[in-house]
Amino acid sequence: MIEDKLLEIKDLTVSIKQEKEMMPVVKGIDITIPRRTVVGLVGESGCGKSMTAKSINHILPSFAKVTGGSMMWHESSGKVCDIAALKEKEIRKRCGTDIAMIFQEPMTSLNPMMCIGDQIKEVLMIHKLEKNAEKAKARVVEMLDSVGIPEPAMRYRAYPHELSGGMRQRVMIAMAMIGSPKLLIADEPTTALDVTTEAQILKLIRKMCEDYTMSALMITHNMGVVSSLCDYVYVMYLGTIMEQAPTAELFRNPLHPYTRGLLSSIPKMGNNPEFLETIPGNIPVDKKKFKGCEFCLRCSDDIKKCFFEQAPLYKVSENHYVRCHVTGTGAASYTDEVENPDREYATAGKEG
Amino acid sequence: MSGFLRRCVGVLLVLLGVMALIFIVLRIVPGNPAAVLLNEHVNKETIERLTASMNLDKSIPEQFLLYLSGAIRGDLGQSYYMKQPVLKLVLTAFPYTVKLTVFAAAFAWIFGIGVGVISAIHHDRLPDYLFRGVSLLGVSVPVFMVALFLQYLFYFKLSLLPLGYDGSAASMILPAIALGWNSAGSVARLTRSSLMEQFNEPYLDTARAKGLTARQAILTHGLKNAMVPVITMLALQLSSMLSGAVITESVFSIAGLGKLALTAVQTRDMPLLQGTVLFSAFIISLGNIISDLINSILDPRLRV
Repeated sequence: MIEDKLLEIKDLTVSIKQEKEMMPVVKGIDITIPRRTVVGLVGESGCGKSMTAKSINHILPSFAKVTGGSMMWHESSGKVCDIAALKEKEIRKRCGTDIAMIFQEPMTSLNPMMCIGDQIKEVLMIHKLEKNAEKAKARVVEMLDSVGIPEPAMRYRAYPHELSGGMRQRVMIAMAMIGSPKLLIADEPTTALDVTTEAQILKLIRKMCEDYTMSALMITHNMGVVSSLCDYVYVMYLGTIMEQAPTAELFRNPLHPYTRGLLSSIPKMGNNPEFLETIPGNIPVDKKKFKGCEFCLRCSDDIKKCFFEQAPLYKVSENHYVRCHVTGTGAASYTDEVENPDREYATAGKEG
Repeated sequence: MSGFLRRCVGVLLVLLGVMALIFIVLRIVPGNPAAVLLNEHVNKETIERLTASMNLDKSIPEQFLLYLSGAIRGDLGQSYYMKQPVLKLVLTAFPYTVKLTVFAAAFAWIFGIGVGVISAIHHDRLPDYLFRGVSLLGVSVPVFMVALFLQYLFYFKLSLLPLGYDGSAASMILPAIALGWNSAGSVARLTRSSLMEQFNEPYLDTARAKGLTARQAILTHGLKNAMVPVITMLALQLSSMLSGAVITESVFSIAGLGKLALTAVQTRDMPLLQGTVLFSAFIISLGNIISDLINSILDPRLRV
């Protein structure tokens, strides 16, 4: 499907410790990030997006662990390396130079006790990209300038609390870019910002991807961010990829009921609706093994099969895959639809 | 700058309050110092003459004003017992106490922070349990116990270090450990919890995403953030160290402020006691200002 791969995540499983039991929150997902591409990973809170992102550069919280799968990193020389299996010291050599990350909350993600310039310079120092302190400082100032920070030489000595949210996120981007990474992981980079700043930051990320011929993995719950930035989208629900398609294709022809729900939840301008569209129900909390489709309890199109069997990823067209029994197989099996007798049983079983 | 001036005025007010308080308390306590000083068999007139020469026949506010005007001129009165100016006695004793406190604080810092960091990094594993036990001992064992135990171990059993203070640096080691022990325990406990609070801070994730290993991130980024409460606490502990110095200096026979205060209490030497208490209050206020200064250097958010 894609020849020029950069990172190939295969069957990734992340589990969290819960009462001495390991509970999977990312359940064997496959994501491929090609070179020079912005890949989006969309889903609502708690679906495992951030866990996926943090497992790439090994910064999962202590209660979470990668319990399966591989992450093949393709060097430009053609060499392939499984970064999921790397030790702490080895993965740190890649962080900052190969893989960089920006976070959701730029206030808490910057060290409040260090001036921003030194925090950016640290990347150069750790990886010995610049040995001369003066030259390193000059490079930092140059970088601050290119992410759109006014008076960069003066701002070098500024502390995070002296900057606005948008400025801080620009600092985070400068910090990510100074090592010229090949992959930028952006974990909801605009969630904490207001809408006008959001647009500027997204534009900046796009520009950086082009200037540095860099790929990006955009983690977001915002379909607007996806449409303005991403080339290819993965839709994730409860730790499983439900649908994947090029952005334009996904918006034109969403197939999974969850994707449709997400898209119709976007408020539309002009027609002043009485209600905002939502997806009914909540993310189910169920510790027990459930073999069916995770979305079927909230789905309006579900058939009996959905309850007993997770759908495979059906190939709809070139690059467009969907994990749904109903829409994936050409929407053929609507006849199968019955009132689901097991639904009440499932709800009762949850409490037991 | 105006903040600093305000702090200085605050210190002066605190000193005034301390002066008034100790002055009143000492005069509420029954017993005439003049009678204590003199022999039981002297006649009443002699006692009265001495009382008058000490200004003790005047009213308390009058005595206080007299004392205050003296203090402003740098005259803290004459020691009843030692027959020397209080200021001279205090200034002679002061360097010993400073030396002891500085060594004790250094021990508390190095030992306490070191133990706290190791505990935090290895939290809930063997080194942590071990060090937590040690720091609990540090917090709970009284100073004189530590002092006597150290003397027993290092002088009687191992014959490594001298028993009392003889002016050499080696003889300062045991007193410093004895005095710093309690503080080291609390510093270790606070460092551990303060550092562990930083573990979940997102900026540590940022540091690791930049390429620092988990341990490097904690030691360079986390520790700096964790130090602010520790520094504040150490300044507050200066007061408990100065009161601990009374005991430590007695056990190791160091002629410092603590020993002077003890002598003053035992002999009802009011001017001397006032002088030592005033001086201690001054040191504690100074320590607080210094800790604020250090914190504002460390933490840019505290700068005005």
